[in-house]
Amino acid sequence: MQTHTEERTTTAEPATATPGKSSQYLTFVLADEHYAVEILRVREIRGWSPVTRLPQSPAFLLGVLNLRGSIVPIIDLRVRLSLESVAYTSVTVTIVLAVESSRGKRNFGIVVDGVSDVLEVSPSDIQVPPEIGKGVNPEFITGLAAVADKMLMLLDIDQLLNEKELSAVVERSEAAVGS
Amino acid sequence: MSLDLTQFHVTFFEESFEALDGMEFALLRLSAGEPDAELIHTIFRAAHCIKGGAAIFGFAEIASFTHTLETYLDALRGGYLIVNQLGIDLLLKSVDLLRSTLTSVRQGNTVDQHPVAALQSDLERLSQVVDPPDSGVGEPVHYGAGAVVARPGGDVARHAKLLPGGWHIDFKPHRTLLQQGNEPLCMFGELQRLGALQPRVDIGNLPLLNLMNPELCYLAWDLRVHGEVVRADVEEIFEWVADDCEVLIRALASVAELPLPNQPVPALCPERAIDLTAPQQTNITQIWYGESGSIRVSIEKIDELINRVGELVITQSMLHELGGSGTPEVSRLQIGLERLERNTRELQESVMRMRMLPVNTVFSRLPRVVRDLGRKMDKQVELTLSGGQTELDKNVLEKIGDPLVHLLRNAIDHGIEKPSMRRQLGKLETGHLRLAAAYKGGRINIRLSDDGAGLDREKILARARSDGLVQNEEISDAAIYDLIFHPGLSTAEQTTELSGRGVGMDVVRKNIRALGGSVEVSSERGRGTTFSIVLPLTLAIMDGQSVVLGDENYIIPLVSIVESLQPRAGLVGHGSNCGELLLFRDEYVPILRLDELFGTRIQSRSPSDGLIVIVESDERRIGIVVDDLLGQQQIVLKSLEENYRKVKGISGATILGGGSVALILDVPELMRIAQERGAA
Amino acid sequence: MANILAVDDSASIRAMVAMALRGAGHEVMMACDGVTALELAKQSWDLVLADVNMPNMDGISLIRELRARPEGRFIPILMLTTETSIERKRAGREAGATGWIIKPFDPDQLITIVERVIGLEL
Repeated sequence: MQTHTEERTTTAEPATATPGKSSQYLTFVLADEHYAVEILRVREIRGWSPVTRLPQSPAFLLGVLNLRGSIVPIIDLRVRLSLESVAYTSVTVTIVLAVESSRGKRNFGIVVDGVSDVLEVSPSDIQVPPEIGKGVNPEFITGLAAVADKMLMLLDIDQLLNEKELSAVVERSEAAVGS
Repeated sequence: MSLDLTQFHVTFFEESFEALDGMEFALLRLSAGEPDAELIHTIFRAAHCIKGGAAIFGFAEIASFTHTLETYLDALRGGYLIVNQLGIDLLLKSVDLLRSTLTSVRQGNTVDQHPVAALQSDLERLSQVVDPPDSGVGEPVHYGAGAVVARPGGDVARHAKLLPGGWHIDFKPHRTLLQQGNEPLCMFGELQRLGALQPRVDIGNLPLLNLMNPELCYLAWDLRVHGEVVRADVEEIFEWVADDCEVLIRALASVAELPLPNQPVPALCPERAIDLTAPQQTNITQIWYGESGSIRVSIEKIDELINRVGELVITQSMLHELGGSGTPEVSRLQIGLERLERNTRELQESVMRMRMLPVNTVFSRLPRVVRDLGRKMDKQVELTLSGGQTELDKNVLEKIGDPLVHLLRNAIDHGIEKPSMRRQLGKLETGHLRLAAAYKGGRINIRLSDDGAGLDREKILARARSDGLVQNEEISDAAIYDLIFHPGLSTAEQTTELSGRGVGMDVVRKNIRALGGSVEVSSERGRGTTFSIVLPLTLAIMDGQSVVLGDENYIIPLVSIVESLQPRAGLVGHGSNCGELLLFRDEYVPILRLDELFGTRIQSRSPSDGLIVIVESDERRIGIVVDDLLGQQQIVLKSLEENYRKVKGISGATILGGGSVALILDVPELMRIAQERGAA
Repeated sequence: MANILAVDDSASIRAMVAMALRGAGHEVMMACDGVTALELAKQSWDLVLADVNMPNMDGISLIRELRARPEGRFIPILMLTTETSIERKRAGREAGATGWIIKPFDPDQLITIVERVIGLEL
């Protein structure tokens, strides 16, 4: 499972932007758009494998997976970003990310259509997002960057499994069940 | 080159807090006027250890304070001073102050210098050794309010550091002593009134329990009364029993060269002396400090290791499935795989054991609690601990402290009588609490007994009747005593700030049950009460029953399963407003449909299509409908909260043989949900 | 580079001593009490640093024990001590200590003294 996922993670040639200040981003595709997450936040990339569903969880939460002995929640990023759902294919992958939350370090996975490159993005490449079309929820995007002929949307991964919102969603679904 | 010393601060704080725990523990065993060299040395070393670190890592206030502390302790250690009650109190205060100071320093807060300086000057005053005005041999010098006893030169004091003079009594009762109506305890009480008493019991002649005649006395005592005591007073006490025993009374000076017993018994209680001679008690002061052969490992590292081993178990089981059969090579492979399986299991068990800590880590702070509560309540209480080495999981350990403190509080508040009352009742003035831990069939049993008033059967019953908890039916003693765990029931005549009113015992039971344990009470009017707590050794591993619900597997903890059955259609009915019910053993049990609660699919449309697992928690039962039962297995509990959040009705998850995740049902919570729904 | 055995019951001081000396290029083995140290003493050491106040055999007894063994007779042994009293120093010297280092010390002082004692100073 691990071997073929690592082949997909290819390293791009270093960019020429301001040295020292730029950082590497893992880019991936979702509904024909390019997204990027900071490579330092990526713990692992793995092929799609079935998850265990969690009761009373929001629709974007597919379930949980065993990641080397700990239980990790998996998010369907298409659902999370209010994009149209598609069937999973052989290139569908799960990117496992690490975030710092108020309760310490947490890991979770996002399911994306496929990963592409690792690119160097310097701060000067990043623009504050204007109105974003195509129904993407702007709260999950920290900025846009034009790198290597692509427009990258930088994903704000700290918001994806936001505690407050999660609680609200779960309480709604619990209330729905309880009634 | 220079080294960043801040990187050692974490270790310094950890070891300092540990040293303070040890210091407190030893202090609580120390009695005024009875300087036990080993205990004092332990206390000294703890202060010394903190001082050394504080000086090196630049915590000047702490170094300066512990230096003062050390000076006083050094005087005690050298025999120049004899520890008195004031000294013990100041040392305990110092422990508290150092704890709070270390906490502030660790958090980077400023330290309030005022209390530190005040305590420091108190200690300095205490440390001033005044030479005796003349060199009269062994004459103690009192000054101030009798606060400090100085002795001429440390060497004289090496042997017997108690008040000079006194008597050594060899007391060997005849077996018939008790039958003649004599009570050694009363005699010892008399002796204690004469001077500080160090009793030591000889249990060498004690027969096996089944051979023991309860009317015979098998014990002998070695008693030392310290102080200026007239021989005739001692003889008078033994006069009554002269015909029923052998007594040899010698002046203490003549036996001064004999080594004092290793563990001087601070106060009167021969029962206690037995405990102290038991091997697991005698080295109790060393446990905390017995660092040799152990290393400090963070819990994260251990959990990481546990996860890795879990992975190994999964890999191993994958290999096992690949095995197949046929050629000699394959069967050799099979043998190897079996060995691997055994090794992996053993490895997993050893790793899980690394999370186990001795119950002493919780017990050791209780003597302080007892001491403080006893003072507050004007009661004399002694606590005997045993079985402190019994180990259990850190998780469980962290959660039993509060229930234990609560039970102790109750025992001191409601159980142990005031000294005057005890005297009237012919009991020893000092009440006795005994806390013992022991393994009991894969679980741990913790018993707390007191020799106090016992529970008042009639009062509990009256109260329960007036509250409508019981009707006028016949009810067993055990059932009556069990009522004290009922919410809202309290029979204390005077409510006190300590135990409050009725709140508490129900919470104690609830907390213990939440750990998968149980608590029971037994009592004898006038003789005392015993609480018996049984707990699992670990929360991390449990036996689980795998069940199928639609296309998901769930685990039900085996401990909560009463029975699994295929119900006949006629046994399932509908209550008027509380959903489906199952007639199970003459009782209607509510049926919980997990598919409705969890929104999962289930094949079994009606309960009688599938199976019903009857589960129990808090003496209530519900039936859970499942499609099928799979195997039972030992599972390792994993937290969902670590990376996600608590899910209602689910206590955690586990990793199955193939590497997939199965959720574990939270039976107590499901029970509550079923109740809410029933009530709704 | 020297092989050094350091004995102290304080974990923080052990960690500091080890890191300082390792940083200066020495091999360091740690022991938390005298009994453990004697176990380790069967190997050969260029220097022993011994705390005085320790559980399970104090520093003075440790030094005495080491000196009574053929392998410990000639090793330089330094006492780590907060006690400045002449009696303790005398007891240490009588037991066979080469010298002492008074706590608190900083890592640089420690390295300087250690290297002077083992004759590595350039």
